[in-house]
Amino acid sequence: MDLKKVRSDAARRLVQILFILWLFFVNVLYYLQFRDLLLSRLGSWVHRWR
Amino acid sequence: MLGRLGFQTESHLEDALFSAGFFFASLEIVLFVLAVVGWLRFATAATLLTLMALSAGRGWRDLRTHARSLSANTRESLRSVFSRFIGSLVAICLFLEGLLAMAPLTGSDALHYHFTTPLLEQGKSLTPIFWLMQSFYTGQAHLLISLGLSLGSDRISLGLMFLGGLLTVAALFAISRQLMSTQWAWITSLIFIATPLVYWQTSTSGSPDMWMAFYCAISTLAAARAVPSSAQAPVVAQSSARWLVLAGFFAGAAAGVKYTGWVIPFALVVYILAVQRSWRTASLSGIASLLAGIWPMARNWVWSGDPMFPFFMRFLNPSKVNSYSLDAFLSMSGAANVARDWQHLLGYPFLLVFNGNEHGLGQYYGPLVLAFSPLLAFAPWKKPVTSVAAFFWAAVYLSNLFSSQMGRLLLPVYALSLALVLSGVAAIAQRGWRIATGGCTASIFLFLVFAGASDALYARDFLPVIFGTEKDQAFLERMCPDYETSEFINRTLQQDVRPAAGSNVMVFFRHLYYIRVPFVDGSPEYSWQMDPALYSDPNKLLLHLREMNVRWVVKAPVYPEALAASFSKLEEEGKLAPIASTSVNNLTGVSRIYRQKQIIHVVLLKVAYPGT
Repeated sequence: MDLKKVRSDAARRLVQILFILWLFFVNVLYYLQFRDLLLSRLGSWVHRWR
Repeated sequence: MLGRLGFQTESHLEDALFSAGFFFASLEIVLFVLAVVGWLRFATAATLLTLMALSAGRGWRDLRTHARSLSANTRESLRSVFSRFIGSLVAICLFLEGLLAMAPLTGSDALHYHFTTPLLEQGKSLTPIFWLMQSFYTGQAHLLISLGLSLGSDRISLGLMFLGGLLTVAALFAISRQLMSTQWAWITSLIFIATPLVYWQTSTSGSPDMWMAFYCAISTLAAARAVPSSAQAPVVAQSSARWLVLAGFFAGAAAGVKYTGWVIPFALVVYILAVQRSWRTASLSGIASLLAGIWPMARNWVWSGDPMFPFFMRFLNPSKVNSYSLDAFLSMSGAANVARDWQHLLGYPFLLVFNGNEHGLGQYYGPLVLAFSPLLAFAPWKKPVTSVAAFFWAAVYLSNLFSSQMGRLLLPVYALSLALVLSGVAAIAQRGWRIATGGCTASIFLFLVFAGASDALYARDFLPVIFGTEKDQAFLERMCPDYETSEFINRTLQQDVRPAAGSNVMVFFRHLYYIRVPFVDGSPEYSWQMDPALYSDPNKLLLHLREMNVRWVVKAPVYPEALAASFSKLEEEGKLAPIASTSVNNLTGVSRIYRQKQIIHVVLLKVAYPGT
């Protein structure tokens, strides 16, 4: 019974970790595409801080 | 009226939404009839609104009770500090969007046809405008734009477009409340209203697409009411057909906004056949949809022989096809560029989000629907609203995938998709999946920060004119593409040349709304009347210009490529003689948010016809 519970907890944790990796992948790829737009809008700020 | 027909529910919010949907969908039909006969003017519009207000009769007495109950429900839903905080952010976003909607019109599609077509039709009975192909695109929600213009201001029209967004948020909240806790429903509403695409469509775009989203959402709510849950079965089953007919009416109203919307009533009919297994109810629902939304297609059919002009002209009226314009139109609508290989079909959800510039601005929805899509498995599938919403979402997504692959056209079901994936997030949070919930919370927080910053940056360009610290003229010169060119044309022809009756100026640029002298568009990409195959000979082109009553032509800075040789030849022969010119600093590139400007030389040429 305990072993079953341990296995079930481990499986649940693994699924959650895989889901977190998926979220990381989606978020990184999403925000990366706005580099050009951000530079066009905030270019002067970036320049000011160089 | 809905109450008398037995459509009252226990939810005041849903009652209010159904009433608003029924009112505006009916109003659009009446406005369509008035526009057809040319009676859509200030007096008739004001009379119509007065008559509709009077027809509410007893409803006005109930309004106070409804408002009080609605306000009590809202207070109840804002009981926790967290809900109050999120609710306040929703209110701030809506307030900001309402403010932005009051800026002078600068949205690209709106300047091209959403507002230009109703303006050209003002006070006249409807006639086809073949030199502006997108005028055939105008649907029933465009009549709300016409209403605002006939009441005297395009700001009223913009306000009505904002109202479409406001009602959609309310409908999304009503759907979300059935799928998740109040707190999560507020979060879903905040994500929706802060999403850059929704923010833009609700505030400055001048596009009626949010109305489509609203009708689609209330169609979902109405259809969900028709499915009996075990506890309500005896009561609900009796009236389920009635609710499905109402859902059909709203689905038809959504379809009346844009051609692509017809997948919504179609999906509803399939849903009724699959779930209710009733041909009678499916037929009645379909008829209600046709009644609510068929009018623009009937108009197009009478005018051109193609209800979805120009998409089926090659099959329905091949002798009248302008192949160049049709191909350009299909290319612009995305239909010509659809990749149907299986890698692309499977990759579309990713391409939409990660490479949205190539797929109809899909990046402006944000990453959350894709990111949380695995959690759909945890959505409350036993609830009727879940299956109806999923059915609509799937139908619109698939039709989009196989027809245009333009992410922007998924807007009608974005609210539904968000409610479904967020219901999955709420479910795992309730189950105590702390790691996954933490990841979702971080993603939501990140997106809200990103969306909030983007929305604030976007608003910065509009706020000075709204608060009166910048003059309309200066704002339009700064933010409105082709405005300076339009002003140059207006100035020159209104003051110096005075257009004679029936004389037009031919232009080749896209943003036409601010031209205040009679004009026609001569670009074959936009005009069905400018077929390069027919007018490659300069003399034939000159004859055609005469048929179109063109007395002036504007080159800004070049002629359209497909007709450039003919126009240049006319210029060489002195049949097009320059009478005025200027240089303007015009917005350029794919979007004004990149702030790319270019100085272009604009020349106004007078046409010299033989024998004049």
